[in-house]
Amino acid sequence: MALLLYFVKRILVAIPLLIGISIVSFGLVVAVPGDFVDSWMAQTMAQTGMSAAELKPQAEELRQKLGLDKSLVHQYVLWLKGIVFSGDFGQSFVYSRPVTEVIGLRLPRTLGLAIVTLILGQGIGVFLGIYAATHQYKLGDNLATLIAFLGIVIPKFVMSLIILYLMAYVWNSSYIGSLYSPEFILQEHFSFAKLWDFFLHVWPILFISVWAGQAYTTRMMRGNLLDVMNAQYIETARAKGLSRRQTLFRHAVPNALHPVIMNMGGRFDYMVKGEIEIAIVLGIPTLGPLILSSVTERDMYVLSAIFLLVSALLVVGNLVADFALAVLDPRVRRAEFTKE
Amino acid sequence: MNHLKSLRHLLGASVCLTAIGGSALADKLPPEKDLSGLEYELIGRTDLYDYRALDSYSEAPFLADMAAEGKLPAVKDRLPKEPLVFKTGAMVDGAGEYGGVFRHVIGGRPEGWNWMAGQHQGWGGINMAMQECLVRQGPRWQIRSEEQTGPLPNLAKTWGWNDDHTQLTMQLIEGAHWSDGDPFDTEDIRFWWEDNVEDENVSSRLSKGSLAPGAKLEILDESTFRWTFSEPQSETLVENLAYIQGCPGPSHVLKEKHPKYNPDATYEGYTNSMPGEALPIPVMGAWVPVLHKPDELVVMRRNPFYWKVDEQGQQLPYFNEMHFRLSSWDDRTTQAVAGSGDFSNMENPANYVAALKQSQSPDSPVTVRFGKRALAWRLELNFSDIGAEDEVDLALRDLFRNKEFRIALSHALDRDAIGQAVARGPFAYPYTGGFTSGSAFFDYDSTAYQPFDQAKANAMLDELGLQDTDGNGIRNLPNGGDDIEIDVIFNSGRNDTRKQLDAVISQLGEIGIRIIARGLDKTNFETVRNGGGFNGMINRRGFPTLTREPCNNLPISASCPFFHQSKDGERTLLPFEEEIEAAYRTFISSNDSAEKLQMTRDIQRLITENAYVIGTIQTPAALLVNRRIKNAHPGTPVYMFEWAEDGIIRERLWTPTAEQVKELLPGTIAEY
Amino acid sequence: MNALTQLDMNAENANHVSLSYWQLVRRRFTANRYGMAGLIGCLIVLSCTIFGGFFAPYGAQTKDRNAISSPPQLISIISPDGELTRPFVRGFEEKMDPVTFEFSFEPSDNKIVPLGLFVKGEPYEILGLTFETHLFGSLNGVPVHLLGTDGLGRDVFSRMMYGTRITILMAVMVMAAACVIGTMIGVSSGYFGGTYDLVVQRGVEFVKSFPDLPLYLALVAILPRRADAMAVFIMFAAILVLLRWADLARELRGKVVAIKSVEFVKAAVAVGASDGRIIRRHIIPNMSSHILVWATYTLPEIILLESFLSFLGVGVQLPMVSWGSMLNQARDIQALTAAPWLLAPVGMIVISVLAFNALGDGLRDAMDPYSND
Repeated sequence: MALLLYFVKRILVAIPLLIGISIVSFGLVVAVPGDFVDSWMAQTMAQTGMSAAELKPQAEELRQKLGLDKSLVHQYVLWLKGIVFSGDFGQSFVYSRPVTEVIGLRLPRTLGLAIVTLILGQGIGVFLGIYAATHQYKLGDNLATLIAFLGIVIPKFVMSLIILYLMAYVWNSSYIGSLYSPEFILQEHFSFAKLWDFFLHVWPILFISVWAGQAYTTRMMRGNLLDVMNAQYIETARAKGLSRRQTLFRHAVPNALHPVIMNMGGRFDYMVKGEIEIAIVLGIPTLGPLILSSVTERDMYVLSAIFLLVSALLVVGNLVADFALAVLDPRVRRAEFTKE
Repeated sequence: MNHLKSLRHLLGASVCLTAIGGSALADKLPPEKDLSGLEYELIGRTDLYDYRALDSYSEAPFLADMAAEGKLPAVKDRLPKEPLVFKTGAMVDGAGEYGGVFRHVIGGRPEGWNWMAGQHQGWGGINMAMQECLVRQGPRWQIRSEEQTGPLPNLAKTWGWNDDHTQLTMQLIEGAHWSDGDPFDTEDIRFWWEDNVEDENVSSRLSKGSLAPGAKLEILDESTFRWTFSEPQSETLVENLAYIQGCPGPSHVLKEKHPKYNPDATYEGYTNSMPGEALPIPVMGAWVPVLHKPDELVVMRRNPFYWKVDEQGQQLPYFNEMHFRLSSWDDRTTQAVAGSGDFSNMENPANYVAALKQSQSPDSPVTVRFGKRALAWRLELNFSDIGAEDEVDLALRDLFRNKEFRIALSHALDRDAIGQAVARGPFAYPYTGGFTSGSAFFDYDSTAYQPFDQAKANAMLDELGLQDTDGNGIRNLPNGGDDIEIDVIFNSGRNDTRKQLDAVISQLGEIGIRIIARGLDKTNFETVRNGGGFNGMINRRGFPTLTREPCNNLPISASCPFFHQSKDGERTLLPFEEEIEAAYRTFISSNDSAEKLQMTRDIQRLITENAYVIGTIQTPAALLVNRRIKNAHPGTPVYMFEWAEDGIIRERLWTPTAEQVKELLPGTIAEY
Repeated sequence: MNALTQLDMNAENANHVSLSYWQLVRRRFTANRYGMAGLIGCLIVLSCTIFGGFFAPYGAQTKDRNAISSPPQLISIISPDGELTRPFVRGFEEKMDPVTFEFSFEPSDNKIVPLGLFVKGEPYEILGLTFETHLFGSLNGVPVHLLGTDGLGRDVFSRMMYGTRITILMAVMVMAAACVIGTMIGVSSGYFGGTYDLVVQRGVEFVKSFPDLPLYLALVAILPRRADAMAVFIMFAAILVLLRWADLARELRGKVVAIKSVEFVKAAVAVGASDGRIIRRHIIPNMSSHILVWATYTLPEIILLESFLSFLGVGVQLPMVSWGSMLNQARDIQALTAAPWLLAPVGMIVISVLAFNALGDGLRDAMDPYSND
């Protein structure tokens, strides 16, 4: 019962959040001077050589058709309706194609890479954290701490730049700025060779993201585990005759892991951000370079759609994470109720 | 062997002579050092190719199989009566072997496939691989100077003038086909001319009225057509019928999308009637685009109806497949050096040293050869009121029309420093507008130069009443106006341009002019540029001849140049612009070579004296070709009459079977 | 639960005589070598912010036409004859390979540039006062470029010093503004509770639900086209503040809710102290350690974000110089190949991020009464 109540409550909280996000996204479109029809006119004038006066009637017609002559609230409702009911995010004026097509393949790539880096990063972080904590102040601990620190300290874009340099000038790699080699681009079905080829193209994203991502987890895990191992119940467990190893993995680690899992949602945001940052520098066709070009060209429909989608996915992702955690750990849902 | 000619010699001589000669112009360019030093043998016009029927024809084996299965007509029926025949004598490695892939890497993205409505397919050789034009410029670099009478034939086999040069009659190649098998004839020419060029609502590459005043087209029969002009014209006019302006599209497909033939169609719909992924489309080129994965790859397969052969009767091209990796322009060079691309016009000077170093190793996959200086950058200030957003914009445009202001800006540029900022080394040479130094028309004596002189620049600006009235380090418009802040658009994909802009920002900042950089991607850059929505624009341009894309350089029509377009049909040309225009008209209508030469010099003088554009630097480019590619003439210039993708004649390039790259779509052709 | 006892302890410490809480913190902090190293690093970075013009031998925009893309110079104290002399650097003999056109820079014994301390040079400003003396400089008029020059001949070291100003100013501005907003909102919502608290809570959650990088980039896109560099700088800072306050507000709210039920606060309420007084005298002081730690952790985050956005060219605009905008030049991979020293500002970024993080760790450990080392 408590579980169900908790779910309902979380969902009720998420709905206004999503509405708020959509308002902000819409605000981004509106905030830029000139509307879609203005951009359409500039582009058509350039493409066809027609004059502004000639285009005026067509422009007015288009404005009416798109509802741009209505009030902002009305426009917002129309815009939201388009998204919710027909997945229509508007038209990109740089690419003269629907935004959905422009974002199309890029969004899943970014999310997919972010999820993989999240799992790898957390996994490696937990492992390094346990290792460091159990070898406190030894060489391994210091090394793990150092690796973690470097991951935090070196900006990701600098690491990307260095890897790009190495690929281009030292290794003469042809795996730059794309996802597949030509021979695999046409291959529709899955194969391990294709996956490997994909890996050869995107490994810098995985490498940098995971390195930077594990850092936080390593430090957190190390700290938690050290705290937990000093707690009384661990001593009790030891006193009961459990071996050091048993206590560690049966009692200490699960407890120390708890905050790490709690934090997964936040880390996902971090990984998405990291993927975008690295992909921009390396020119890998995921969301990153698209965001940057939409910024410099003010392709606001694309930008707002990306923003809306990524935000919404994060909210939903957090929701799912919370649910999962609540199912696994009753303390969470109780905590939620005692807080207020 | 008596035609052996050293380009360096030619250029060096002109520099030496003129440097001593002196002239009326106050300041002269410093002496130039050339990097090319190529030697090659020049040939006659007809040594390259001619049109004739051969006894027998052969074709790529897989096409022969298809023909045998009845999927294709026999090769003899697919070829024209008299195909274009490339002569073995002009091929450095001789007739080739079929098969393999030619791999391009480009930084552009296909805008759409309707090139007749001005859409590009991503540049870097992809446009040219599918468009064939009435006449051809690219291979002209190989023709000896005595025979440089004009462009080479292509779709137009022959042409001739009437006695008073008011009528041009052209004869098309007979019995050629589009890649879908539809006959190519004068209906395609009529549609191209009447419904694209002459239709103002279509932004055709050749714009209405720009070929010649009062040009009228008349179709005589299936393969003959004639233009009549209101004034006498010259052979120069034919150059406008080469790539990218004189390339007809498939009328049998496009007519039904055109508002004139289809009442439901719109011009916007027509422009976009061949969108990005809708492939294949019918072309006359050697390869047909069959697959487009956005941001990844365009695959082209051989055109089974291609109308060119070698002397053995083998239907061209030799390569079955052509790839365009959709990446970045810098990557094009990187991949060529690494060997995963076959070809690059290395145009970004920052790449030169690294590529040269790598090509020195014996197992390097590429060769690197420099040409003459043919690429130039300049700052173009908008003279027109079109696209002005506010009073400040209008005031700025007014200022830009003032010669003193432009000269002052030109004096404020330290061009050596700009060159070194782009790449350390001997690559850059100052540029002040007009012909590039590698152009055959470049005349040192007619070129004015504004050497770096900050004090002079400051004095000139002071005199114009442009003081820094609010003490923030930036000069203000007269009468206590706003700060002089000029937004300058540039193609953000070009690092070479960006670096120059950085240098220009810093240098003009020192004389109190603030430049705001606005990077745009290529498509958007062109949109803004064509719409006039900029105050300044920094741009890389070639200026090899007067007739090559004249709209980029000269005030020849209402929307040319982009920095002085008419607003609502009106514009007032500055006096020197009128002189330039008049000289240009004389040039294209004259048949007197001395007069023509004089006109090129006058234009050079007018442009550089008035700082029509504010030139920065000019650099040479280098051609990178993979070593396994045969028939790539070592003397091919990156840019002379046309870009090297055309000059290298890709349809006759080949690779020995053992070195061929695996095809992605073996055994297939475009299916409509 | 844990937080509660901790606050109890703090409160006791604050009211006892023997060693004040802050004295205790200081003692513990100074014993932590790692934290101290961080503190020293931070002080160095901050001093560059104020005295950048003094440390830099040249101005940020000063161009040396004779040294374009010139590599770093090594300071030496052993003269060519092998004797100990005053510090000097060697000028370069530039050679160009005739085939590849590659420039090589040979340090030359014939081009010795002696260095001196407190050399007069270009005027610069510190806190509104103009000075001409620089920490070091060349004694014979030939420019010295310790970290080389960029493509326009500008001294990388000097630009980096001036860049510190903008980068750190940005970080401190954003941190301070976010801190004030976060504290006000967090403390008030925790203290007053009720509907106000509920609204604030939702607002915080709302702000926290934004993916920050896409939002920053989107907001950058709506900045006006012809805004001057200062305006962009301020708007850029404002955008960064927008998302930063939420975390602090949330954390502080939680603490305030806990502390409200503690004896001494209840006592203060009982004797009729005003809300303002309770907040000022009892609540804020108990939050200060937390705010301090938050601030030290936030600074490096802003430095990294600002650097990235400026690196992309959408952050700090020319002619302002920040570390990130300097790195913008290295975004072109060819420039990087030809002049790897353009990456020098990365060193400053790494040092400052490391220092602030270390300081934060040190402070956190020192302020945690349970910490065992």
